[in-house]
Amino acid sequence: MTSPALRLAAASCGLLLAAGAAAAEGGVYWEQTVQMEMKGVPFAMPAQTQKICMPADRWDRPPQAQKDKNCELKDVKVSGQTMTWKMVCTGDQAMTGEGELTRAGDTFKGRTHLAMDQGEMTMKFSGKKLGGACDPGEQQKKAEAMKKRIEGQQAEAEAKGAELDRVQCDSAVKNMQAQAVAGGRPLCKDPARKAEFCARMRTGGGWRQAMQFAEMERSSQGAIPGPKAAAQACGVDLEKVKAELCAKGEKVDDLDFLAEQCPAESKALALRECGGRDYTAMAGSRYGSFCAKAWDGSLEAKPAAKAKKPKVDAKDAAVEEGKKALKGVLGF
Amino acid sequence: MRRAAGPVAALVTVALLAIAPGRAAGAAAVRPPDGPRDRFPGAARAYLVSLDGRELWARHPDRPLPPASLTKLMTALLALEAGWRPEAPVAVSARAAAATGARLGLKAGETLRAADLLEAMLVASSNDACLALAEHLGGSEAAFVARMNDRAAALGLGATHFANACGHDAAGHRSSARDLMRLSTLALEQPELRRMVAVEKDTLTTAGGRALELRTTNALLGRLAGAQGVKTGFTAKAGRCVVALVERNGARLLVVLLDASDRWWAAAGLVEKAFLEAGPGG
Repeated sequence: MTSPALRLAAASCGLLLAAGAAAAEGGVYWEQTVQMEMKGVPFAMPAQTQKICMPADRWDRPPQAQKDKNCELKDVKVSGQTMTWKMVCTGDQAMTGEGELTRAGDTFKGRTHLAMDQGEMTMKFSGKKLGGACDPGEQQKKAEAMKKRIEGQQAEAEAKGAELDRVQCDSAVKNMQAQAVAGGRPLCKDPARKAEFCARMRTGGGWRQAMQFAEMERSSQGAIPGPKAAAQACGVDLEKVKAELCAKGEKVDDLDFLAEQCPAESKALALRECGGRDYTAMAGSRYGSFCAKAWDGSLEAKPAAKAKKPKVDAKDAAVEEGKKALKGVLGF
Repeated sequence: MRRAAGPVAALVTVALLAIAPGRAAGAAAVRPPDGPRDRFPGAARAYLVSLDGRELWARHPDRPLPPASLTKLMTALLALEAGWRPEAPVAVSARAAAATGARLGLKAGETLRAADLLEAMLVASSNDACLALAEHLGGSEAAFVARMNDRAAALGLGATHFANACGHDAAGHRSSARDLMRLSTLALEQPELRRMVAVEKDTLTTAGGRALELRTTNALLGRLAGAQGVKTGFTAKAGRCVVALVERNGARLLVVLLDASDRWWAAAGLVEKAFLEAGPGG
């Protein structure tokens, strides 16, 4: 269950099951069925049926709100066998609610609707009298215990949610995913984490990592945030940052960035460090990955090394010779 | 092609090359309007780069050239396709033991599992293992080569013809970058081959208990991120050849190089360029 649902469930338990702590008479057992629906959730929670103890004089009084100084019942009206009411709660669990209940012989049915910042919930309930004496005060204690249990689950869920947010923020910053700082609900709420992300946008490695998501951003037309959204959130100009990083040349923090993004600035370094060198010897070195990424088909062999000339293609050679001869014959 | 002698003969040569069907691709620097372009002419005598089945860059992709040990991909495909029995004992003939080029060092009369011979052929490009396997599967190398050519024809590999099972230079032994790309794609559908071409080193044991060390000839394995195979080749006429498979972020890149000027840098460079420019992130 989500946090808002837990809050609403806790509130409704207190509202619906409270049998009135001040009941003076004994109670009678009823069977009650409750089904909750959350707005925006495409399926209803399974109906729950339970045996409850309701005071014998319940129908003479309006339903009690949970024992909370922040809640107030309003507009309680009784018309025939139907009772309607409104409720307002203020404070941390601020909400408004309305309800109605209709009794028919030894049965009842009704609904409550609760709305708070986190969502809205509708509860439909029905019941039938089972008979047998019981203590409504005992029922109240059970309701309070259930409410506490739900509130405990809510706190636990919120703590887990906060931990999940932290883990997701960590991952997004590490991988330079724009969702860390941009989009409808940025994953990183801590300003320090945002600052960390934005600082990495200004490095070769971070820039390069962020640009991995450029195509996704482009093809989704920005629905999925990527480097552009991240740059906007960080107040940086991507192309300007790239130019500044390229200008650092070999001193840039990430040589792979230099190879991939700065062909002009990497050429001299590639000729110096890669030309004529053996791939297997270079592969694990500082320049191994750089050399592979900087390769443009034209790395020259080092002067000391014996250059391997490409084989003369027999067909190409014959055609060239023929062309020369043709020119000679035709006099051009 | 004989050197033309005299202006008239040269004129005839130019004319013949211009009109000879299927052979003129290299004579004129033709780039098919919608086909892959030759972005890196210095990379190899012929090459083809394909990302997720889409050809990116190519140079003379249909030109028939010696394929060297890339031939072994067809040998392997035939081995795995029909009634493959990996545990079958294979006795090494004297002829196989005397194979030239890259060798495992098998002795005549030794017996190994068919699967071990296949692995040695693919990983270390061992010609003795290759020949032993071909003789085992075909009864003789000649009979096996006939099957190789039948299969090539059935696959529509129009530039391919085999004169031997293992890739030695020989008259009429040829293939093209595009044919080899098709052959590799098909061969990689075999799970056992897929596994073997990614092996960097292994130890085989003969039936007699002799241990044989295998080490891959593919320098990209373990060095180039995402490298998964496939096969190397070298002969004096073919030059340095490779079929490389690299997978990154769910994208699959195949590179075929025939007679590369610097095989490993060219392969690695083409891979990095392809993923940077045409694929989802390197």
